[in-house]
Amino acid sequence: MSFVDLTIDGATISAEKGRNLIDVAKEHGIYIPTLCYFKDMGTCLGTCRICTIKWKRHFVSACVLKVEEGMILSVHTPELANLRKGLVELMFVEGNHFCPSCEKSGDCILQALGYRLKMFVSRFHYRFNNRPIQFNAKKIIFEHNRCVLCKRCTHKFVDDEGKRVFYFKGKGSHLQVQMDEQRVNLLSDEKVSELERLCPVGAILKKGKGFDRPYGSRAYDHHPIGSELEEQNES
Amino acid sequence: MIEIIKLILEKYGKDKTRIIDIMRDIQVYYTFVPEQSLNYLSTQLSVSLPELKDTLTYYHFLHDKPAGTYKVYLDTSAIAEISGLKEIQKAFEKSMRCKMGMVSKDGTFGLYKTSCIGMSDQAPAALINGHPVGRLTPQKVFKIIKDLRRGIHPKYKVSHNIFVKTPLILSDYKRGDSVRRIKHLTPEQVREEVGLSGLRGRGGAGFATGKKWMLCAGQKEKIKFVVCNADEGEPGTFKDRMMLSHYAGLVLEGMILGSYAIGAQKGFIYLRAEYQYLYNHLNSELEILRKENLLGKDILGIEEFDFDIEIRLGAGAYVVGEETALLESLEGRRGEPRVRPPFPVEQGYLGKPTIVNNVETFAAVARIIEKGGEWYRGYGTSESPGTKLLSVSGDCKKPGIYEVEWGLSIGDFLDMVEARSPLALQVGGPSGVCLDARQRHRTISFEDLPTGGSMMVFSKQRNLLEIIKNFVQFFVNESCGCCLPCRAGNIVMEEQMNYILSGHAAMIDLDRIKEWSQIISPSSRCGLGQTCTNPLITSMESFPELYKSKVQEHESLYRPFKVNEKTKSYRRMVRDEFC
Repeated sequence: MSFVDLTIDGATISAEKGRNLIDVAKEHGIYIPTLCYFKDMGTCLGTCRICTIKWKRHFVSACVLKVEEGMILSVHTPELANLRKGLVELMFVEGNHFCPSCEKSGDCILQALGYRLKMFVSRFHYRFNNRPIQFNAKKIIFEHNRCVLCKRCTHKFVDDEGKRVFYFKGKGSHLQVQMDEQRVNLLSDEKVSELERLCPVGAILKKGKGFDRPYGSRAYDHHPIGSELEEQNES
Repeated sequence: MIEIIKLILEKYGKDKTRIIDIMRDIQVYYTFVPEQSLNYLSTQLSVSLPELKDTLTYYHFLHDKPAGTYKVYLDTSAIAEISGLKEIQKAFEKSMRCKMGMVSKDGTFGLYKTSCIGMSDQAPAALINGHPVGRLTPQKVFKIIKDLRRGIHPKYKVSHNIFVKTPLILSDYKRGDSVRRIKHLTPEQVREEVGLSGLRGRGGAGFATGKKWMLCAGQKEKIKFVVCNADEGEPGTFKDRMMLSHYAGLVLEGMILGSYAIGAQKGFIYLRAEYQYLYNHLNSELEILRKENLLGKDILGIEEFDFDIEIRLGAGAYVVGEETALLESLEGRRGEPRVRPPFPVEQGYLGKPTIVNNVETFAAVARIIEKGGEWYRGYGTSESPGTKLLSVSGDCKKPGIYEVEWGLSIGDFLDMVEARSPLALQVGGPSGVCLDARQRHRTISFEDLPTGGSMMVFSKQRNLLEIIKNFVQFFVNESCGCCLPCRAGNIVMEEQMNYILSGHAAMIDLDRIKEWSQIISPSSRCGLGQTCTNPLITSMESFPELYKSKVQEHESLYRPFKVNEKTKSYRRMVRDEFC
């Protein structure tokens, strides 16, 4: 095991070589905003691009990077903050995100990023896409209006037999997540809960559950996303 | 149905990576890929149904609904648009009795739009069941469809207009001249020779070929692959079409050299679906090479040098031209770019080290080994040695394929192709640069204006903004949708372009385009997204007056409200004649 030194926004940190940059930064109290990434996910998806950082004057997404000796990275600069905010805005205009009525509100990563990046309104025009709600499956509802096409469910979720149940249909702006309904109906309750947690937004919902946690007890009710890391860093 | 699919599966040996080929074959029988066949495939190949549908719905040459016995794909590139695409489309619609994107009632014809099919020098063009017809006129269209109804196919013939200025690649070719030289060379010497020549990848990015091969050869893994990228999707380019029909042997020899240099056992040519008419020709070339022991076991008597090449057909997707997306497609999945690192030289096809090079790069390698790296370096400029094949189309007297030395000036280029009162030159296709034709001192080279080969000339009579809109739409249509900025950002750009064209844009919109492209392009995942704002940005830089003349001083309040669009359904109900 060898350790390497790298610099993030001027601070030098030491980490095990070849580890994921986001995890390393997190352990050192530096929050790199992410949406499609989660810890120990294996091959990362690289679809949301929120974790874009700057390395040697190039823009790269942090989730694909493994730490190397002598890396000099910028994470929190006005330029990158604007870029991330723009990306979150693009997500909001692409779908139909109406937070007050959403079951995932308060636990939603997209919403949390919106608050964290101080997005008040989108600079782009809302598209008001007409997207359906799929409710034929026995155990879940798929709310396409809220889907950000992050690929978490299509690529990182498998049923008890180890097979994928979700897939992408079409491409480009017609892209949509579809499901193999028969397989979804066979999922156990635990699997459905796992699926619901896996979705970063409120697109996949467990049937018959609805709003189950009061305001104040949800994940991002009191502090913006990532702030717990930074507080820890300051103290 | 099961019987037929069984036969098809046997043909491909139940190989998971050949899903696209299997689906294509099923389509030959049923005009589309029926749901039942997917269920059967899923059990036989032990691939889940979602994975199959992932692949099926991604490619636009694969259909999940009945698609017509004769599928006509109409080229909608900018060049086709300026050569009378609208009339051709109308003629097709009228003669087939169906609208664009639909199938005629009797199920005989299906009419679809597609991006460039590599026939820009003979625009407007279309593909009929995979065969190209060029230089279409409404009369010709009516005749073709009338004949097809009686079962008579038109004569499918592609002519190549070749103009050679510096014959490095396009000189006389004698089979085996290049490969036979490896008898006296070690793999290392081959790599060094390529490195010495300074050859850079001809796909557009310009990565040093020698370095790529060096990196791949250095990998410990024993199994390696060579992949030839014959998926030229950039609108306006058609050089690979000519290379694979006239110089296929040269390209294949380049691949054999590549395999020798890195120690690969197997090679693939990823042939774009639009060029499937070249499939048989390439296969016969491969047969000849096998007979002459230039392919197969112990090639040229060199012990343990075994190599063979297989041709894989694509199914229609621009993004697959990106090397990692190509590898995904080769493995039978959606052609979405992979996250990098790891790079293909480390983990490519099936996770093994792979070199992916352009058709033209392999041809150049064959010449370099034949005549020496020093000789090749003697041409071109210091940063861009050698020659480049250019695909020239648009408003000029001599459209076609040119082989020129790197470093050619734009002025000389325009004179050479005999451009007619040129206004603008699109260097490198939509993802390249829109250049003012008056900048005659600029040079075609990696130092100044790099190009993958596409050169489109537009004269002063053309409405440049309409052309730029076509480019922007091209990116909207061809974005794979995998990453957010390209998927959603392109639509934002298209919206801005529409404002400009409709006269509703204000000065502030031009600033917005510049500002927003700084969000979309750096954050995108692959080359497509990173270059998708280029047509707008570069044309704004080259022709600021053109844009300024189209925009208002101040933003109007009612801009997003389009009265015609909002009242469309009402007007259709009352049969408004302007609808």
